[in-house]
Amino acid sequence: MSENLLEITHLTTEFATPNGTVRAVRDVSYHLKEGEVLGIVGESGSGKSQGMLTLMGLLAGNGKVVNGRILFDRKDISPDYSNKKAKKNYEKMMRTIRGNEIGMIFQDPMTFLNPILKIGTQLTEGIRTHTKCSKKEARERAVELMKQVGIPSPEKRLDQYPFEFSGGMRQRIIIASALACNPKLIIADEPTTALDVTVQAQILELLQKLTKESGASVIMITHDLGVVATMCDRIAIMYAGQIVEEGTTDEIFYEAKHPYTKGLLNSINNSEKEDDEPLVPIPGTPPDLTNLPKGCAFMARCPYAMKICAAQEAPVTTYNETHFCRCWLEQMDESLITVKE
Amino acid sequence: MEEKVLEVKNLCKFFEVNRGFQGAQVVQAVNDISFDIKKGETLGLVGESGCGKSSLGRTILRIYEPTKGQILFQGEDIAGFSRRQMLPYRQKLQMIFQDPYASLNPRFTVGEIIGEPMDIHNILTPSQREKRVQELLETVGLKPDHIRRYPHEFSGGQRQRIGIARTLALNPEFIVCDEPISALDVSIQAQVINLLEKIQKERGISYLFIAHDLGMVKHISHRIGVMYLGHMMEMGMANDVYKKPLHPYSKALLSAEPIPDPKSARARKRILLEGEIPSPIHPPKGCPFNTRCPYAVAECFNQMPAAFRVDGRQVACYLYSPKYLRKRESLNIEPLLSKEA
Repeated sequence: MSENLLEITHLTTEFATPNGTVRAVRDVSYHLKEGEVLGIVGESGSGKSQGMLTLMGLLAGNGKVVNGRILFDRKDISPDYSNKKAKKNYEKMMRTIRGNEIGMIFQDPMTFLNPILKIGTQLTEGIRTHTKCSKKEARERAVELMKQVGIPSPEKRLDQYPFEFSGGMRQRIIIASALACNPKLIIADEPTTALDVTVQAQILELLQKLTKESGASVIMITHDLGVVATMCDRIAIMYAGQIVEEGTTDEIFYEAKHPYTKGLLNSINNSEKEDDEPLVPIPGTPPDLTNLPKGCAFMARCPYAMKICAAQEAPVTTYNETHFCRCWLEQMDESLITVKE
Repeated sequence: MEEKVLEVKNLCKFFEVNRGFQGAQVVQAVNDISFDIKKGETLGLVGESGCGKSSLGRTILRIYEPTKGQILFQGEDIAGFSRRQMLPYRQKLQMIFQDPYASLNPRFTVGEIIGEPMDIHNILTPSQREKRVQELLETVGLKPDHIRRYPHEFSGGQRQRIGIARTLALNPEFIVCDEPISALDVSIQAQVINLLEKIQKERGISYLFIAHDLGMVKHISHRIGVMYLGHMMEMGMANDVYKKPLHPYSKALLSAEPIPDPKSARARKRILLEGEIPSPIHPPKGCPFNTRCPYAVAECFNQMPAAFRVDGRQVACYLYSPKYLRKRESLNIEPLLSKEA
């Protein structure tokens, strides 16, 4: 087995808001091997994007990393805001990593690209910042990248502005810019949500091909179970800021343990199903992150909720090297119960 | 099923855009579309953005003025009706909107929102109305005492329920559901779909269900129509179209949909279309799909094919004309969706 490229342990992020503290990411731990594709699935507000922004050091001003350690490529890149000097050093270090060793692909191709700069300028910017090369060399690299992502007549297109490209083409440019410095890790945050189905298929295929060629690892953040089923080696399911279940793609789809994972799988219509079995929705709505219940966050919607679920957060149950779940139903060890009813 | 509620004949809706130096240009959003919907039936419309599915829904409700064609509602052609003539029909033809945040007035209470249509059409006295609103709230799974609250106090799924209650206030017979679930989280989507199905069973309402989530459309629809650049490419029973799409575009669209099942996702052969949808202002001559179709023949570039009847459904493609029968067999394009793992 290859080494872990990324290791995140006990990451916790909070936001100070007028309505109280939002606990967006709660005790999240996972790891990623080289060349692996990890899918992070969750609904809006489950903390999947905030976890990534924490990793990149791109939190909004009111965000605070309370706890956690991030190891990337054997370097410790845990956010450190303890004093002014540490903050300065941390930000300086992240600037050399972002766009260089970690590439990012965002959801909305129109807001990512600057509308008043030519595509060529935007593509070469990252290359020129992170590598010592002349303008000419950077441009040659940009042409090569445009060819890789399948944009015809790249020399001409580099001198055009973003509005002259369609949505799918813009997403290709963003992929090109994410790949520009041969990153070891690519974070794709809902990369195809804004696209039509047939274009989405093209982009997913392209992403798969290019990451396989370059050997980069990918973290794919999405709410679309169809996309992760096609793309990912492993999947982590997030709910209310926590990873509730993690496993290989097959383990998640065929041996789901957590009631939330099962609920998600039941509530989508798998068009493979023979006849129209009724959909089984998850009742209720996700909890308010400023006012989380004391025990399990999913308890209010869980059909199997027990007394202990209200009192204490569930510990992690491990099935094998890859499959974890956070639910009392799966936990046999009663000695872990520390709260008296 | 018996009685036809709605019959649309050769409906066209053209928009004039860009009145400028180049003179007026025309977008053919809905082009020569005919179909019918029976009582208690759901017709699903799928297609990518810009294919005219929402324009079609809105034209049927006379939110847009039809350019050409007939809209027969219970045998009466409402396409040419004046505003006053339309008024009684507005009660029977209703709509559910996509965005539950934009479609509810934030300054109205829930009671005012749901009561407004009854106010406009002078149904019931104000005191009776309150009781009716409470009944409607219960029908859609909310509590009667929510009547004094404002929309911002509700989540997305609950707001969509309020929108549905408002739609039901006038006892409509036909509802256009314009992407009613695409703004909702996965676990909430199934709740809304089940609610719509329950209402249909109880009241025998017909739906025109517009969405781009193919899995959900298949689940709720009896029949499905596939649209591309203003044209209806294929229409047939939901299961037939899903299991064995005939039109080359339907095939590509269905194969591009990410299947939330890793085993069949791996086994499936994807058809990747080249390029993107042409601009609706300058659609290609002949069949609009000819720029991306792998099987295009000479006729495709001259004239849009009429709908051919194949196995009880309509397919607008020359491959299904008797003349090309042999070519179709030689291409062997039938088992494109090898879905069995």
